[in-house]
Order: sequence, then C-alpha cells, then structure tokens
Amino acid sequence: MKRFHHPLHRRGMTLVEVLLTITASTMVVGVAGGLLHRALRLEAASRGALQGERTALVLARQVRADIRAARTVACTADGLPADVVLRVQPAGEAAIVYRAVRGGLVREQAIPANRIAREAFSFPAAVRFESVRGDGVVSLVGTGGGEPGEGPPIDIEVVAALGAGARLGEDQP
Amino acid sequence: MPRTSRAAAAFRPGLSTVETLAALALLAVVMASTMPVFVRHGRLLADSRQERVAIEELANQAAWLVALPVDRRAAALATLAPSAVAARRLPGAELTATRGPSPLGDRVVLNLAWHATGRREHPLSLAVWLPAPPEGTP
Repeated sequence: MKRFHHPLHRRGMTLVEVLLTITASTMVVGVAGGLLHRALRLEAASRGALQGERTALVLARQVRADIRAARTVACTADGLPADVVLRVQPAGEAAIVYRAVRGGLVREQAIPANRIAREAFSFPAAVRFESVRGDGVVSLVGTGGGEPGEGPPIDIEVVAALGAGARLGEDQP
Repeated sequence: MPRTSRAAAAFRPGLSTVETLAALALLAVVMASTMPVFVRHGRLLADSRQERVAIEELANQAAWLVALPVDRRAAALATLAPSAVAARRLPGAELTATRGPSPLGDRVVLNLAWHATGRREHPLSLAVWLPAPPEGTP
C-alpha cells in the first residue's frame, strides 16, 4: 500500500462540510425533480391542447362542408334525440348525424352494405355541444375544460352558411 | 504538518467541499436558466390557441356575411364586432372590414387584430367574395 493511502493519514470531511454538501445536494435534487415534473406535465398538457386545437379545426371544416351540401339541417331545438347534436340531410345520400359522446363528437353516416361510417372528434376535456339555428346559418357551439385537472378551457363556435335551397328543420320525406 | 500528511493532501483523490459546492452552484444556475424556456413554451401554446380562435372567428363572420341578404350587408359591415367567444379569448380584439368591387363580385376583407406580438401591426385577414349588390344598393 502506498504511503498516502494509509488510513491513518487519510483526510476526511468535517461534520459541517458533510452537512453543507448534503443540504446543497438536496436543494439541487429538489429543484431538478421539480423541473422534471413540470417538464413532463407541460409536455402532456401541450400534446392534449394541440390535439384539441387541431381537432377543432378539422371539425369546423367538416361541419361547414356538410351544411353547405345539405338539403335540410336539424338542430338541437328541432327535437333531436338527447345525444344527437346535429342532423344533416344531404341530397341523394344518407343522413349525417353528429352524436355527442364522452370526450367529443362522432360523425356517423350510413354507407352501402348496411355499414356506418364513423369519424370521431376527440378533445382532451369533456366538451358540451349544441347546435343553434340562425338567419340562414347554423352554429355548432362547444364549451368545456377549464376545471382543475381538465386542462385549458375549450371554446368552439362554428358558423356555417346553408347552401342554396337548403332549409332548417327535420327532413320531410 | 508531517511529511506523510502533506503528501496525502497533495495526492488525495476526490473533491474538496469548495469544489463540490461550486459544482452544485453551477448546476443550480443551469437549471434556473431553463425556467424561461418553460415560460416561453406556455406563451407559444397560448398563441397557437388564439390563432385557432381567430381563424375560426373570421370564417364564422364570413359565413354570416354570405348568408346575409344583400340589402343588409352595408349595415352589417358598419356594425361588425367580434363574437362573444372571440372577445373572451382574444384580449383587445378588434374586427374591421374593407369593402370594394372586384370582377368576381363584392370583395370584403375582414381584419382581426388583438393584443399579441405583431397582431396589432399585422392583423389576421380573410377575403370574401360576395354576390355583387344590384345597382343603387349601398
């Protein structure tokens, strides 16, 4: 064994030095843990928020296209079933139904061979939707979020102009 | 100090307390400097949310204008105002419109400005072409 490694000559740390180092290390580890926790939460919140924004834009485009091509449009005030937010009857096609589900909306349309095409619009928080009749327009309004644990508030308002010859109310066969 | 102790101090492996504390202080400074990144990220997220609301607002106003009878168009443009959602989500929102004839009909440009970086100087704009009003209509 080399001379300077002899246990009798080893220089250690005083109790004050040890306590000081432990305190500083604890503080740094605490700050690092807080930052990591915050970064992870931010990442999750950002992902959810951006997905909600993107979904809102896609939903708006789809609703406008459906209503522009509609022959009749039935809104909440027209006595639709409780879970149906909007019912659009295009010319020469099966009706399109926007149904409220947990976490968003589902667009359903019957297609040939007894099948139903479904498109889901999901949001990071619970959103309550309703459709409102206007003067030559239909508005789809959705509000939600903002509560603790639900993420940022979600406000959606889509105003769509009716196409030429279209009318409001249930389709009359 | 005995010779053996001096040699041990000179060649001891590891770090002194001062070195350890200096390293920890540097680490703390680096971590503190990441805080502005979080703040900036939050602002970017809020900006993207406001952009979406603004785009929807302009599209909604355009839909209202398209559905409006021609004889009510001038009055509607004169009293144009942001919707409740836009007023709530876009601080200081101001909606204006400029109107002019074009070969394709009545060209209306909607401008939406609000308190956000660069949005006062460069408002979000949407041009709408509406059927031209009959002769004599304002």
